[in-house]
Formats: sequence, C-alpha cells, structure tokens
Amino acid sequence: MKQSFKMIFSLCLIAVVSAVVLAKVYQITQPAITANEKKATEVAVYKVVSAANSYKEAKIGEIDIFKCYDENNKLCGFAFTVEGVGYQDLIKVMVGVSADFNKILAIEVLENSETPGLGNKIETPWFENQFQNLDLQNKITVVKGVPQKNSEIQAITGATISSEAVVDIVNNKIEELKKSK
Amino acid sequence: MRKINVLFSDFIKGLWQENPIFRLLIGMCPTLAVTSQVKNGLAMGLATTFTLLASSTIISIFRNFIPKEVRIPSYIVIIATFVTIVSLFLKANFPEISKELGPYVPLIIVNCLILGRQEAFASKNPTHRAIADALGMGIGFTLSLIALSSVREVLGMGTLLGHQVIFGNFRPWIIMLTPPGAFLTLGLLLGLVNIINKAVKNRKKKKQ
Amino acid sequence: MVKELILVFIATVLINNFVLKYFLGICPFLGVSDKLSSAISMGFATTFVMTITAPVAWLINNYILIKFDLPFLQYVCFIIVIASLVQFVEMVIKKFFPLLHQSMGIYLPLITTNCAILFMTLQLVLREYSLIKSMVFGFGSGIGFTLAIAIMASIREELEFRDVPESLKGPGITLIIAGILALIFVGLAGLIQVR
Repeated sequence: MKQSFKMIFSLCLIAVVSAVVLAKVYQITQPAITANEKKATEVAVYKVVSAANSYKEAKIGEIDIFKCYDENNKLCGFAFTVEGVGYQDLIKVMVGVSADFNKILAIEVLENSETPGLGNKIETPWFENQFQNLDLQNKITVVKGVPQKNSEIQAITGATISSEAVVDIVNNKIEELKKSK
Repeated sequence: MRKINVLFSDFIKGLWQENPIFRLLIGMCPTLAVTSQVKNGLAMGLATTFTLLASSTIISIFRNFIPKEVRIPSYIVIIATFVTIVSLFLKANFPEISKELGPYVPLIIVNCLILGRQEAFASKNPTHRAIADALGMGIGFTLSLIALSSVREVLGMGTLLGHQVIFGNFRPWIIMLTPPGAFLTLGLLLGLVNIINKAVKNRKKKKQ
Repeated sequence: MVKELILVFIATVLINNFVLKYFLGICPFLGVSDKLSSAISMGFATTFVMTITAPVAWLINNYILIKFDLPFLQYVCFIIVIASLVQFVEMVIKKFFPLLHQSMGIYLPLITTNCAILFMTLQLVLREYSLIKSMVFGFGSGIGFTLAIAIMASIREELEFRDVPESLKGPGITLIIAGILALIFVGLAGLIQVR
C-alpha cells in the first residue's frame, strides 16, 4: 500500500512540475512565436502584391484573404494562401491577384516537400515568375514547350506532376473565389 | 587526480569507442532524416545534446527519489518536458530551423540514445559523472551527424554549410538528398569506421 | 468516403512508407530483422498498438488539448498515452492470450520507444484527420512498417549464406540494402496523390 502510494505520488509530482514548467515556458515564448508567424505572412504578402503598403485580413465567402492597400490607402490587390497535394506531400502557395481580379500579380511557394532537384524547383524564381501577369479570364494550363498564350506555364523538366499540382491548386481556389465574390 | 581521470574517460568514450551512431547504433531515425544538410544535422545534434544533458542532470540528482517500478514513465515525462522546451525555443528564436527540422524535433523524445543513457548511466551514477557522460555522448552524436551530413551535402548539392565547395563541371548527385542516399551513405560510413577500428586494433597488437 | 479511406491506407503503406521514406522505427528495423518470423511478430505487435493509439490520441487532442487550450502539453500527453497503452496491451495479452504473449511479448516494451508511433500521432493532428481516418492512418502505418521489416528480414535470411565484405557485415550491409529498398519505394511516389 505504502509502496503504491509512493509510486503514484512521485509520478503525479513529476507530471505537475512538468506541466507548470511548460506553461511558464509557453507563456514566455508565445509572443515571439506569434510574431514570427505574422512576420512570415507579412513578407509573403508584400512579395506577391508588391505595390502593397498595408494589408487587412478579410473574408470572401468562406475563404480567408488579405486585402492589400497601396500608400494612398487604395485597394491594390488581394493575397491568399492555397494548399493541396503535390507529387509527394503538401504544397502551400501564397498568391497575389490584382484588385479587379483579372490577372495574377505573383506567387510564392511557401512550403513543399517535392523531390529535391526536380519537383522542388517549383520554389525557384524561374518557375514562380512565370505566373506574373497571367490572364485570369481563362484557366491556367501547363505546357511542355515554350508557352504561346498568356495563360500558359512551362512545366519543369522531369517534374510535370509537381508543376501541374501548383497550377491546379491555384486554379481551384481562384475558381472558388470568383464564384463566391 | 584520479577523479578527473574518471570524468575524462566518462566523457571521451562517447566520441569514438562508444559512439552512439557508429558503435552503439542507436538514435538512427533523426540521424538519417535530417542529415541532408550540415546546418540541419548540427541543429539536431545540439538540440539532442541539450535534452540529454538536461535530463541526465535532473535524473541523476533525483535518482534516489524516483521509485524503481515507475522509473521508465518518469524518465519519459522528464525527457518530453525538455523536448517541448527545445521545440518552443526553436520556434521562437530560430523559426527557419524549426521549420526545416519539422516533425523530427518531437521525435527526440523517443531517441533511444537519451532513454538509454538514463537507464544505463544517469540513474546509477553521481551527477558530475552523469554530466560528463551526457556531454560526451551528445558531442559524439553531433559529430557523427556532421560527418554524415557533410558527405550528403557536398555530393548532393556541391555545397558545405551553404557555401559552394565543388567547382567546375560537377553535377550534384541528387540521390544523396533523398532517403536512399541517406541509407547508402550511413551504411558505407559504418563500413569505413569498422575498417579504421580494425586497423587500429591490428597496430596495437603488433606493438605488443 | 470509403474511397478516400482506401487511398489514405495505400498512401501510408506504399508511398509514404514510415521506414523507407520518413526513417521511422529504424532501431527495431535494424535490430529485429534478422529472422522473418520475429520480424512479422514485431510488425503485428506494432500495428496493433498503432491502431489503438491513433483514436485515443485523436480523442485526447480534440477533447482535452484543444478544448482547454493546452498545445504545449501535446508531446508529454501523447508519449504518456503511448507508454500506458503499450503497458495495457501487454497486460491484456498476457492474461487472455498467453500463447500470443510468448511470441510477441518481448517486443512489446520496445514499442514505446519506436518513434513511428509518436510520429503517427503527431501527424494525424497536423493533417487534421477525422477519427475514422486517423484509425486507418494508424493501421496503415503499422502495416507499412510490417511490410518493410518483413521484406528486409527475408533478404537478410538469404544474406547469411552470401559473402559480404568483412567490414560491412551486420548493420552496414543492412543499411545498404535498406537504401536499395528505399530506391524501389521512391518509384511508387506519385502513384496516387492524397493527404
């Protein structure tokens, strides 16, 4: 009896001390962690809507978006994150579109775990820059050669699936946004 | 003087003779998973060393108060606490590294190296020896990670710590960055360590 | 719904194989893979524990950690759940299935420190799986582990009669074979796309 009481007591003591210590550490580190996350979003938003000077979080239908304003406080575009499955795992992209929803301003791949050296080239400026000023009247499509139309993206050699995945998840979200607008 | 000798041998054995990765073959999961770049290998090594050092110290201090029957759960809770602290610290101060190491930070909890040292050493020895042992094992672990990740980063990207080190017509061996490359490199490095060990042993024999 | 569950299962077993893609459970993978029979016992013991752990971890995460806003206790809670479930499973098996305990018993305590289980619980939270999907995910992870360790064991049984270079004997050659196996599994990536 005394034995088991000692066991329970020491286990509980360890658990309580651990919880208290962790609560304290969490409290101390939390502001920095939130600030880091906010900063990461901020950097990405300003990158995809380069004219933006400030932004506000808002909703279109059910979808979270960032409304971007230029220095005269005029609406200059929208930014939003899209995510979906690529060749292997999750791909997360920040997309910037113009205020009239007619063209893409820029995109930035935030997270991916595609094949190193092939699929993860979706993170390179060469691939991302292809999205700049794309026409949104038509769906974006992936081609294997040099793009002919202003809604075409050249696929990465050896990584067509990753290239198509990025285009698909961007297309889907834009379609959704257009509907709920 | 003898006391210092004991401490020194507690420390030094982790570096080669009982090197966790190459000799004892424990703590393999993070070893393989995060060593595609030296930066990540180093960060993982330091995070593990910190957790090992902190848990060994605490457990060795309280070794007489923790009942034998529940020692394993107690150790695991203590280790998990320190790993959570490491994880929060990384997230707050080094968000980039925290993102790169991702899900492998919490896995330090179940790194057999840490629990193994508590069971085999910290729970039986005084605190100063436990600290020496933890430091030696931690540094040995970190050095092994650096060795493995250097090979993989140089061959896989032609860089070391992000600086270009191979010039000219070199085409990076992408396979080194992928899971198969990790297994192959570690297997071959293990063979190399065995060859060196054997050569050292033979030389000692000849001297005698 | 059912189709999605099947896809999650195939993806966890073949494409995102825990051992060969995420390097989880390497210690038992190297340690217990010298004989096919013990490898399969180890695999099923792990699968069993994983299938039970997944829903329990899901419930604790959704009804305790999220409800009371205690994200920082996640690691501690999950590892306690795993350790106590392993203990519990061992007691139940010992009492009601003594025969099974004889073949599986020695592997059960080792499972607590199998990083595959902790990783699985953390992933199902990260991927925001539903309760049923979590169970399929847990079961699939276990089967994937069993598959990898069983393939390895059958290769190693053959290997005993082969002429392996002295310095690579044991873990060295095992890791190199694992590398080749991983290479084969890389070929399965992109088979289906699911998360």
